[in-house]
Amino acid sequence: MRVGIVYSRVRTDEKLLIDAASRQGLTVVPIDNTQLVFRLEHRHIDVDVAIERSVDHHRAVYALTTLGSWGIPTVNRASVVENYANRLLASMALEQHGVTIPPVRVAFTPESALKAMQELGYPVVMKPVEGPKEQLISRIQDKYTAETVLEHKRILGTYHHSIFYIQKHIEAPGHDIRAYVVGNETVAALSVQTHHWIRPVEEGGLVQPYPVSPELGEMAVRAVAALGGGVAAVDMILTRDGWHVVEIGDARDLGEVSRLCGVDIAEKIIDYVRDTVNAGGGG
Amino acid sequence: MKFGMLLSIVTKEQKLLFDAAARRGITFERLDDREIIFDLESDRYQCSVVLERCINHSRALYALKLLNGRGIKTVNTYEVARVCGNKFLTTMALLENGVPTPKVRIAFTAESALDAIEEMGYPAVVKPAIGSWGRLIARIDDRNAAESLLEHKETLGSYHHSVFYIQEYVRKPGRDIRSFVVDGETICAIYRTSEHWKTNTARGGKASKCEVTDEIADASNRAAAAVGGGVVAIDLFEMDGRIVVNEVNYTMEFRNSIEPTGVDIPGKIVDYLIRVAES
Repeated sequence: MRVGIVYSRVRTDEKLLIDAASRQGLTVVPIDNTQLVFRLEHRHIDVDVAIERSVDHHRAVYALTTLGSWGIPTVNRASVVENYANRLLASMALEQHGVTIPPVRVAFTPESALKAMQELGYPVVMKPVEGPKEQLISRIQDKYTAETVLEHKRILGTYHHSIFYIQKHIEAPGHDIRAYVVGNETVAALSVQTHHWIRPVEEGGLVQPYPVSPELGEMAVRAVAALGGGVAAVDMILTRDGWHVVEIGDARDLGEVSRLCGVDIAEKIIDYVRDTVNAGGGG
Repeated sequence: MKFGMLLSIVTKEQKLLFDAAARRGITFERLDDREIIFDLESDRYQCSVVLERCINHSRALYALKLLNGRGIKTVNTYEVARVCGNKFLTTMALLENGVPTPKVRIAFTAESALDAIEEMGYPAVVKPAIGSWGRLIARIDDRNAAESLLEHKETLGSYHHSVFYIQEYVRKPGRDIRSFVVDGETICAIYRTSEHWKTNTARGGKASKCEVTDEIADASNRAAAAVGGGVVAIDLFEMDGRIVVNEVNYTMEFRNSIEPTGVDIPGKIVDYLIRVAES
């Protein structure tokens, strides 16, 4: 089996995946997306399946769409990556599949956004609808902060920043959970205890393995399935009302998470890639 | 039955649509995209069908997604807007459905884009994957022009400009064709004639009637079907004696096409809306 790995840079995660694929006897075909030219009119990449590992999500979506159109199964599928990368698409899919998420409002101008925030009640969290997951997330406590953030977005932002995605802020007592899902299984989970609400790990939060209870495992798998399945990391919080899914993103830091949790996630991903090909469909 | 129109400002096209609707006893409820607030849990905007006429592609796209997500029918659908709003997705849809279209290369860095342009040969056309009115569409005649353009895009452009869509240049006879397809039928077409290689009427291209030949109707209908149907305008090139599809537009302007063709385009759109609402 020939497995393509589409990448921009070979980082630790890509090395782990290449090693795991080689151990399982697969032929790894590296596809460097910085050198790649897609000739759309005919298939010119010879692989049975491709794993997408681009840093930039636009490159990922364009590459996956092309490969998918040529009939090559991919992990993840293009539509899935689009769902992960876009908070509105993700929230709608989760809501439609009955996964609990914080209430969301969407508006297109600073004026209507301000009304939407008042409707939700402060504090709210405003997030870019697309873009790197940790960038430009603002917790807004009051109207003055709201006006400042909205004005900056309006004057300085590109057109994607004129879609205002506003989430109700939900208090989570002290820790966030990140669950790693591969196909139908939640393979690992971490808890992050922190004083910083956006960048728990980078701001020196305490990261520990967290037991995957049946309830946690099922909620994370349902969330990923709602977006079309595949491999992903699910950020969740536990409140008195149960689990809320806050974000879904790429499964990263595979080595560190595997070491902490005592599972080989790269191995699990390669198993899943093989299953995907054997099932004859896209991941 | 309730008819909604999603819009930003009332342009000539919107007025023509209001008038066509009034003649049929229909009043549009205006959903102003500057005022609407969507939530994901409830049904705020109850309409039998919503006609999307936003100026801004991202507002159109998100609003359509939210409306379709709540089960509200829209013209066009979210899927049509998604595919037509992105030239790469349009090309893929055309190729997958065997519709003739100029050759395209996709690259992700300035270096690989230069390779792709050289492979295609000069002149080549570089387009933003997302964008309209012919803005930032560049004809590249030599390597110097390519290097200069790619450097400007890489240095000044937002992250959308780092996907390079490169199209073969079509030597068209001083004009291209825009056809209008409503509900699977090509209702009329115009020639857009210009001294400039870009023929958009928004850029000064002159409109005149184009007879809808079988070949034009066939290419147009197939292109419309490939992107998901509805109300679309197809840009066609006459290329070496055959018709190829360049782009498909999902919120088209039509004010300059009614007089030369003698076809009541807004009337046809409203009639289609009524059929969608009743279906």
